[in-house]
Order: sequence, then structure tokens, then C-alpha cells
Amino acid sequence: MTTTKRKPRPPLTITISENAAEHVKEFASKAGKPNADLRVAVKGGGCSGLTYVLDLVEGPEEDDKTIEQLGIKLHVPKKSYVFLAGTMLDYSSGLNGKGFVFNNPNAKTTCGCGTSFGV
Amino acid sequence: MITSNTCDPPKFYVSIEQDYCTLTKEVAVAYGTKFGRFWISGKDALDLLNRISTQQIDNLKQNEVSFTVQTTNKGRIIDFLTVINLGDRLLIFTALEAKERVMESIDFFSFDDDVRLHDCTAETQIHQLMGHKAPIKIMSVLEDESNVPDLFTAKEIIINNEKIIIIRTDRAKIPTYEILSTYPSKVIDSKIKSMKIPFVGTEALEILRIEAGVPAYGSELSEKFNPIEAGLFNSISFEKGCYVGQEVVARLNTYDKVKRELIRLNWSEPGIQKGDIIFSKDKEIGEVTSCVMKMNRSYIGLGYITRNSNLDVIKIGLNKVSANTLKI
Repeated sequence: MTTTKRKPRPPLTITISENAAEHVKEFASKAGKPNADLRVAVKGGGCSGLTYVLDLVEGPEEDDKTIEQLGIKLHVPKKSYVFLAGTMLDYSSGLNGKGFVFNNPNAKTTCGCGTSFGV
Repeated sequence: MITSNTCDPPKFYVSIEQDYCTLTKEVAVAYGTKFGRFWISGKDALDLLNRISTQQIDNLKQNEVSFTVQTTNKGRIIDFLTVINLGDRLLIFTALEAKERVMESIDFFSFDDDVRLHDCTAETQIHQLMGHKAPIKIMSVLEDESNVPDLFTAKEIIINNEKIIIIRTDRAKIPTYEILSTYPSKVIDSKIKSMKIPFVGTEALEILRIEAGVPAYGSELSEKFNPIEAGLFNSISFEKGCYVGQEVVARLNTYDKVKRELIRLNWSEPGIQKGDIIFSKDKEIGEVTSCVMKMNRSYIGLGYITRNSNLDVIKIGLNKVSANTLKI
């Protein structure tokens, strides 16, 4: 009998890197909302069919799933969660541009600007 | 009198020449039976349309009208949309045949948006008041100058307890007011009748459209073509960022990769049909997408050709009829 090793599945949660968490706190502070949470969602549209949406919010909306990491509360709408499970939110300040980066294992295609993806 | 709000009106009322003359020199009414229309309400309506079509419309103000193109993820045309912002809801005009496809596509992308769609095609009708004297005549139809919208704006008014929406679009490059009313409309029908404004048939409208180089759904607008080829530059924002099909449309424009262009044609022999091949010195360069007889032995049409083709000697169809071309 032969056995094949299964590729480990990404965790079905959403994580945030230390760099991204620091930038969320910085943006919240600059926006005059130092205690704000982050809402991470997906909407239809954009180059690849689905678009990431980030918002500073005061709390969760009805049906949001909340994840707390590195001092940041992430609120994710249930309908978006299926597209975001396993995603690691990072922040890039490299030569290709500054901004939040979604490392999303569900994304089969992404657009050049990084805000849109397809599954 | 047409008894349905979606059935085809006659090709002409008096004669094609007379209809065309009335349209271009006076004022006339046409039934807007080729339009599909629906409402979009909900707080995300404009934002959603902005994410799935070519024009920057998320900043469209109340009573403003804009034109946008819904494209596939490959940047091909689904349909050309007229978007009217009435504040609490949007009114969308599509081609009648494309309405279901457009609504399905909007519904598909709206899974997490506050958006509601309502098809109002069967319960409404559209009259188009067209012609150079339309801006004067519309004042009498609407009873008050303050009811008349400026170009690319809309007004929502009530006459005799009937809600009416008037939009000025000039879509065939002559003054045009589109009047949306409930179906059947006692007010608009009786006003047109009492003011004796003549009706025009579909052929004169087609002549006007082709002369203006305006692409139509099913002929120049389909998934075979992209909005740049169709010459819809005024309905595309190259700065707005992501929308479905944006990367393809932006790449075609940035790297000048557009292969075809829409041109106007005229010729004087009968027998040319939609789909006939366009030749440049015996080399196939494109095909006729629309054609109509303007008057005896004078025909006009639209066609897509390969860009930068030699247009010195153009022939069309099996009989290689000589034609002249005009850029749009």
C-alpha cells in the first residue's frame, strides 16, 4: 500500500503580520480613531471579479466574524469569509509600491494593483 | 398607434425621407421600444456599478446622467448602459435584448452589497422627442420650462398625478429627450396627440444613428468587440482603477494594441447586407455591421475594419460594390 503525503492546508482563519498590524494602528491613529478595529471584506467587481475592501470601523456588524491578533480586532463578514479563509494580511513598503497585501491561498488570479482577485 | 411598450414600431410613418426630414429639421417622436430598463436601489448601487463597468460613476450626482460599458473579464462588451442617478435609486437603460444578461451580471457581483434590482420594462414606456426643435417643443410638453433637463441630466416631475422622468441625452448627436412614464401613459400620449407632433419609424432613426456613428447592440456592440474598437472612449475612464475587464482595456489602450476600428461607409448599389466583407484592394479588412438605404441609390453603413488599413480603394460584398469610408 502506498501513502501520499497531503499538502498541509492553510489555517482556516485570517492572520495579520506584525508589520501590517503596526500600520493599521498608525493609520487608525492618524485618522483620529486610535481604538478602531479593522473590517476586512470582499465585494464583487474589480479586474479579476472580486475586490478586497479594508475599513477602519468602531465595531463588528451583524453576522461579522471577529478575530483578534496582535492587538487588532479584525471583523470579517460571513459572506466574505469563504473567500478570505487562510489569508495573511501583510504590509509592503517595497519598490513595487506601499500598501496592504493580501496573501490569499484562495486567489487563483490577481490583478496588477493587488486589490482584485479571482477564485 | 403602437399598443405595446416593447413591440416594434413601423419602419416609417409617411415615408423614410419624410421621417428623416422631420427628425433633422423639425421635431418628432419615436417610441423607445429598443430600450430595456430597470431600477437599482440600495446604498451600494453606484459603487457596485463603478466596480463592474468602464466609466467613473461612483461620483455621479443626483439627476446626472452618465454612460458606461459593462464588460466581461476579457474586456469584451456586454452592453452600453445609460445610468441616471435619481438620488434614492438609479435608472438604467440597456438594449432590450441585453437587459437580462446585464441584470444577471449585476446580481452575480452583488453578493455582499446592499443592492436591489427591479425590472420596470413592462410597466413603463419611453418616448423620444428628437430633432433640432425638440428643446422648444419639450417646454410645451412638460408645461413649464423648469421641468426641462439640461444635457446629461434628468428631471423627475409629476403631471396630472403621473410620475414622469425626462432625460436629455442627445445620443444620436441631435437634441433628444427621453421621457419615461408608466405604461400606458395617459398624459404623454394625449399631449403628443393634441400637439400633433409627428411620429417617426425605425428606418429614419437607423439612418440618424449610422450617420452619427453610434454603435448598436447586436451589431457593433457584442462580446466580439471591445469598447475601444467600438469608439466608446467617452464612456471609459482610464484613471478610475479596477473594474471587471479593466486590465485588458487598459493594456489595449496603453500599448496601442487595438486591432479593429469602427468606420462609416456609403455606397450606391443595392444588395449589401450586414455581415458582408469589406475589401481593400481585394484584401479582406473587415465586415459590415449595419446598413440602411438613406434614399434611392444611396446607402450608408457601419463596419469594423483592421486598423490602419489602406482606405483608398474600398469594396464591399460579393459583388465588390465600391464604397467610400469616413472616420468616426
